[in-house]
Amino acid sequence: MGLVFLLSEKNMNYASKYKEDVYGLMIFSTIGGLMLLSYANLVTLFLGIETLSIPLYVLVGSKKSDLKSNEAAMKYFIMGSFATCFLLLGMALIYGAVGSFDFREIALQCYTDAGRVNSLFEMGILFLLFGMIFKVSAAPFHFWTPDVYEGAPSIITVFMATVVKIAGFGALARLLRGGFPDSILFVNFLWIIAVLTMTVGNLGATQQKSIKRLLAFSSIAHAGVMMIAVLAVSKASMTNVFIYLLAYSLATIILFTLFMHFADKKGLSDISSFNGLGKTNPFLAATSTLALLSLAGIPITAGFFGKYYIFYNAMNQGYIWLVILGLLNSAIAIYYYLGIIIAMYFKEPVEMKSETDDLPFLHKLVIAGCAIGIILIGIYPNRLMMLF
Amino acid sequence: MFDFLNNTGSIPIDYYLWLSGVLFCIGVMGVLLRRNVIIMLMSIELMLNSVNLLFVAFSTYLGDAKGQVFVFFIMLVAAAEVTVGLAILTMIYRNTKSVDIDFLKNLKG
Repeated sequence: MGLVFLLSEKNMNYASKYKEDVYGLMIFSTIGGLMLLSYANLVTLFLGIETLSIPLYVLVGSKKSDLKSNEAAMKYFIMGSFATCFLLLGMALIYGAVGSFDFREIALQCYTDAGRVNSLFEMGILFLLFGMIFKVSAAPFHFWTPDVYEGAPSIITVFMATVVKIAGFGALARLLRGGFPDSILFVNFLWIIAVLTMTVGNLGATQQKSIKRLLAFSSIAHAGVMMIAVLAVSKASMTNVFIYLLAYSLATIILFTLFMHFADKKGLSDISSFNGLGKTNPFLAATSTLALLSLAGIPITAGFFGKYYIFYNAMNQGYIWLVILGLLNSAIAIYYYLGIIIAMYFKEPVEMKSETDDLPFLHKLVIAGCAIGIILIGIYPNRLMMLF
Repeated sequence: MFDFLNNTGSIPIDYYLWLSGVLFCIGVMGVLLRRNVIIMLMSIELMLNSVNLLFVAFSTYLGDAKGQVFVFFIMLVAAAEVTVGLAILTMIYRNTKSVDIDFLKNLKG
């Protein structure tokens, strides 16, 4: 859902010699993502993850002569296959305990004779979760995220921050909704991960000067919020996760499109490239303000309702402390998002040169489309709720 | 049909569990401690193969062929993964003339 649409929007300006390879690999990767959103079997989960990841390793390194891109690819590859091993170990233990890969059978088996298989099964789930948590870049396994996001070509970073993220959380949500009993180990573990992820992401983001790294840390923080949604498993929580992901993706696309433009034109990659945008280009400034407000979760944007539903659901499930910590973290997030907005409106531009004419029409269309999407979801969230 | 699989009764499943556990740990240590990318790739292979062993042992123990089919999937994917890994390594070698992990420190912040 929504996934292919997001992809097709972004395939626009990859200025490299290997254009067709890049598109092909992106499509392979997207197919992996679609598998992850609709699996009902551990084998499909594994194949989906690998179909998603292997083309990504190549894509991250697709700037062949750039050492940063090489380094990002290598890091991502080593960490990724390391995590895959843990994922597989978890699957092997679950298989040993239950004797099946099918979700329904696993759920049945572990309910009926939990006494006999308990420890092996729980170990398996734990390892499986380690692997998944790596893929969605949550806290103890988040170290690769900023490096890879910074080193990868920008368009691939957008792809990773949106499509891959959606697929990862879709998979995690499906896994937890798959009918496993919520043993204590499991819930406490995710609780800690969620809080840790939000805090590390937000505190990390306040330290950043480079836009790409800032967005990487903010994506870690958002992963933490989505962990809350995934943790408070209920019928509504899938919908919540998807609304949040949609809101997050739309805002991220706007910011990255702008960032790519600045990086091309001015050769700048830190926050100062946004200085004075409010004067030189009101349209871009307004849309990116909207995107930042949505990421921070300010009302009438999509991000507000995404957060609202997630926290509301978690409250109903009795995770009061989790919600309180989540709200505290949102406050930290507002600090660094507003930093960029202040740079846009209250600081002098680096060079007084109108950027409007340089931005390709297609990019403007994408930005406008995303902005309209953010506002529409912010005003009519119920319409979207009904879709899922 | 799977009669021959049940003849392993003389070796208890625990032994296989310990063996693959130990192999997996050796693999983890290799990835974490060694600085040479090729050795790290080999360690990752070792981890994958210890998981394969675990799958086959469980599959025999449970008298169920699904685990063995999964092993084929894993072998296939592992081959694809290592191909990509070696390609990335070749690309890096062309730029740095080294297969050491220590050059991976340009991205910080």
